[in-house]
Amino acid sequence: MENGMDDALDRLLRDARPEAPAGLAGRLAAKARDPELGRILFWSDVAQVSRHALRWAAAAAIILVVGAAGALTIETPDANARTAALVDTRGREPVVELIAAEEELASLAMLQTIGTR
Amino acid sequence: MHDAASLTHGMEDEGSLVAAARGGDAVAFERLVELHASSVFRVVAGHLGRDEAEDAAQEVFVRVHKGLAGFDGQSRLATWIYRIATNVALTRAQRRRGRPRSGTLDAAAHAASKGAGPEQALLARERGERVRRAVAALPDEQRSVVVLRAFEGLPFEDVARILGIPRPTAESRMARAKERLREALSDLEIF
Repeated sequence: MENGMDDALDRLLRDARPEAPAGLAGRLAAKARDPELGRILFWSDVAQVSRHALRWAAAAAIILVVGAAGALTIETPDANARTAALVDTRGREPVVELIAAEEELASLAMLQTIGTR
Repeated sequence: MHDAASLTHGMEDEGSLVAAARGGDAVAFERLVELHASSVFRVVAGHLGRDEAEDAAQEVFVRVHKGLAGFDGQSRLATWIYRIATNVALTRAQRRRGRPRSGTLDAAAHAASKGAGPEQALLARERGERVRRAVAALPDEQRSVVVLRAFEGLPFEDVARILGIPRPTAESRMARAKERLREALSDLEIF
C-alpha cells in the first residue's frame, strides 16, 4: 500500500473486501432512472428532515424551559431582596411620619405648658 | 474508481459521459453506473454488509441520477460518488442501530462452513467474514477510512478529500482502526 506500508492486517483487509455480485451494474442502472424510486427517496428525505427538525425543536424547547427555570431561580433571591428593601422603606415612612408628628405635638404641648406658666 | 487506486483514472471519458448523462442520455448514464457500480457496492457493503448493500447501492445511484444536474464538476465525479456512497451507508447504519441486527453474516459463515468447497477456501471465506464483521463493528469515522483506504485501496489524499477531513486526521483514524482490528482479530494468529 502507500509508502510501502503493507502488513499482515493490510493484506487481510484487502482479501476480505466485499465483491459485487454479477449483473449488478445493469440492475442498478435500470432502477436508478425509475422516477418512482426517486419520489420514494424524496419523501424519505423529507421524513428524515422532519424528524431532525422535531428533534431540534424538542431540544430547543427543553433548553428554553431549563434556561427560564434557571433564570427564575437565579433571579428570585434578588427579587426577594428588592421586595424586602421596598417593603422596609415603604413600611418605615408612616412610622417616621408618626414619630415626627408625635415629636411636633410634644414640642407644641411643651410650648403650651411654658405659655400657661 | 474502476478498481484503481486513484481517482484520476478514466478522466478523458468522464467529462463527456457526465455531460451526455446530464443531457438525459440513458446509455451514458448506464456507462457511468457500470464504471462505478463495483466501487459503490464495496463501500456500502463495507459499512452495512452484503445483505443491505445492493439496496444501498441502488439508493446511491438514484441520488447520483437526481444530483447529476447539480454536479458542478469542482470535484472529481468519483470523489462525489464515493461521498454519496459513504453518506448513504452511514445514514443507513445509524438508522439500523435502533433495530436488531440481522444474523446474515453469521449465517453466511455457517453456510460456508457447510459448503462443498476445499477446506482452504472455506477457511478463507470464514476469515473474510470475521474481518468484515470486525470492520463493521468499528466506529463510523474509523470505518469510513478503512473502507476507502483498505477495501478500495485509495491514497490517503483521496480518502481525506472524500470524507472532507485533513489528511493527518485520515491517517490517525486509520491507525486507531488498525489497533482495534488487531485486537479484535488477534485469535486469527496472523500478526
